[in-house]
Amino acid sequence: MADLLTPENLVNALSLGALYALIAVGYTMVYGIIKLINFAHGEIYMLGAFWALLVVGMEQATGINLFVAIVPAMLLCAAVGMTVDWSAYLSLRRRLPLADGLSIGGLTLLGVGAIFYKLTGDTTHAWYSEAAHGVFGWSIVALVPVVMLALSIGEKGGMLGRSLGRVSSDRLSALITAIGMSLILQTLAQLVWGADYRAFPQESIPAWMNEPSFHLGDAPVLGKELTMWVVALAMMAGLHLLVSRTKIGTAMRACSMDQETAALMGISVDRVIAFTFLIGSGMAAVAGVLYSVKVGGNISFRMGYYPGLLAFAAAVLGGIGNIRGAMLGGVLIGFLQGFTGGTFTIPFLVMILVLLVLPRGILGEPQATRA
Amino acid sequence: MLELKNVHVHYGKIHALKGVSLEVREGEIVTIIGANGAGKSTTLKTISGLLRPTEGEIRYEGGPIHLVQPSDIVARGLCHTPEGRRIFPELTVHENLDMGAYLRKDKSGIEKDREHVYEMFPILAERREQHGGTLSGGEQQMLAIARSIMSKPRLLMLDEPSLGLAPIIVQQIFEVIARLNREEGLTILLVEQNASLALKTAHRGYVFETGTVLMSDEASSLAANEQVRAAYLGSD
Ligand SMILES: Nc1ncnc2c1ncn2[C@@H]1O[C@H](COP(=O)(O)OP(=O)(O)O)[C@@H](O)[C@H]1O
Ligand SMILES: [Mg+2]
Repeated sequence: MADLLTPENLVNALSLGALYALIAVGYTMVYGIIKLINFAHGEIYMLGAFWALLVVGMEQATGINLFVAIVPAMLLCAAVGMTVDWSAYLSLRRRLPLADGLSIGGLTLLGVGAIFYKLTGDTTHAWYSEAAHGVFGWSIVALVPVVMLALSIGEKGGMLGRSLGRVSSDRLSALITAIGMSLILQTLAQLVWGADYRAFPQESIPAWMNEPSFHLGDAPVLGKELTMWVVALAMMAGLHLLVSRTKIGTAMRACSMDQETAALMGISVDRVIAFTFLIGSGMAAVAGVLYSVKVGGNISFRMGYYPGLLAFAAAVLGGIGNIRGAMLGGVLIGFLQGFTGGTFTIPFLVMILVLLVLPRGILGEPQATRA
Repeated sequence: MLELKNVHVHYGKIHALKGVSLEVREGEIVTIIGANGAGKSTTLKTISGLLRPTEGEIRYEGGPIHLVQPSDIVARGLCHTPEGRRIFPELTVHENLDMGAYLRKDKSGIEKDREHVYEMFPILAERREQHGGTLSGGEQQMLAIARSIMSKPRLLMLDEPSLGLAPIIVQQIFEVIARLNREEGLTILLVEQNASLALKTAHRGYVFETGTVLMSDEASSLAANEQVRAAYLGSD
């Protein structure tokens, strides 16, 4: 036990804590308002790394600094996050059949991906991976928003809405749709960029990021680790100010308490929800870029899975729906994993044990009795 | 100012409003009375855009509003204070008022109106940093009305403001309603189960029964009507 409490593990734990906290707030903010676990959030994190990689150069370095690339990565992820909400979850809220269509589509795409994988075996030189890099792959990506648009236009969900009639949606279809969105994004990423593991080109990473900035005991803290901690802290502080001090932040809290009354006050609930996705996705993008700099060579369509799952555990541990809870849960899960040599089991075990005692998580309050 | 023509509303297969027509003129207090389940709240929710009529038309200040989003309806000066007060429990009194003024951009006007509602309800000024959920029922009702006033409405719709409150508090709230109408020229559509008090406060009234308008008249005539007295003012 004692040999786990090393400075190296502390450095690792702090970085993991920053990672999970940055992702967990996105889960928890969305859950707070629309009571849905956005399982596609881990894929937003993955896309953050890919967008930045595209900017700094996937095959050949473009010479653009990685810090510059974070900005378009955040913007693109915010756009994807809002598109996910607008296409899948909005139709779910309005009880439109598009939601079911999307989850079925996600499962189909997964199946297609699995068949390609089986047929070709060697993923690095798979023929579809070559094809996917070209026109074919991009046309699939371009098709998705067009199809979504066609299906969701019109008050009752456009063509599909009118021909199929309304579907009844409940928590289970919400869950299935969210998982469907996650699979859609993963499979699209695999079709477009293949299954290889990639890294940011060394030219895009400033040299100081790989040099020790100071020592914690005898463990060096590299510039990229320090950057991650500082950026995570700053973003958490900024988020706290946004939610507690600004008008849009107050509206977010109002919507999480009572959407109908919020609408009666003139708040466009759907716009507030879109804004929530924007913020959460932007933060996940930052996590995706900075953590990929730290570990190196991890960028792939799969990379969102485990961090997404652990950040989800962090949000639940802290009290789902509670932003400070997600920050705390993120750091706790990060420490549990960091100090146990990177296991996944112990964080989950602890989460389950804590939930047995505190079913609403550490900072989750018992359901407020509404007057 | 507001006109409903033959409005029908369904909740799935339940036919909640079956051809409601009513009118509110500028400067009036109009009340809707009727038993539980008669469709009074449904009517207000349809006017404020939370529900869509399956048939019929709603016109406000000359234009149709039955396909307009709730937030645009608030922007046009029509605000709905929902049944059961529906205060945001974990926002402070101050923040609740801010949400009422959500669509407004005139900072100094908002500040002035805030001071104005604090004058109208001094208890809210004392509690301004307290969470809405910690207020008493009467204080929450005052906050609900104050929050709606922050949107600067020209027509205010109140759904059962007397619900579950002590008679002395109800008296206070109705005095405020009458004052808002008399001194500030606010037009009010008042839904009430407390028919005697509503008919004393309002100019005109509509009696609802199972999704239809049973009768409509001057409030004083309704209060004198035998049928109304027997059905709704029985305990007086
Ligand atoms: N959300 C709902 N779903 C289904 N039926 C409803 C809903 N809300 C109200 N109703 C029904 O519509 C009718 C009118 O209700 P409501 O407008 O709330 O009456 P009131 O406000 O006059 O008491 C009632 O029969 C009620 O059961
Ligand atoms: Mg009612």
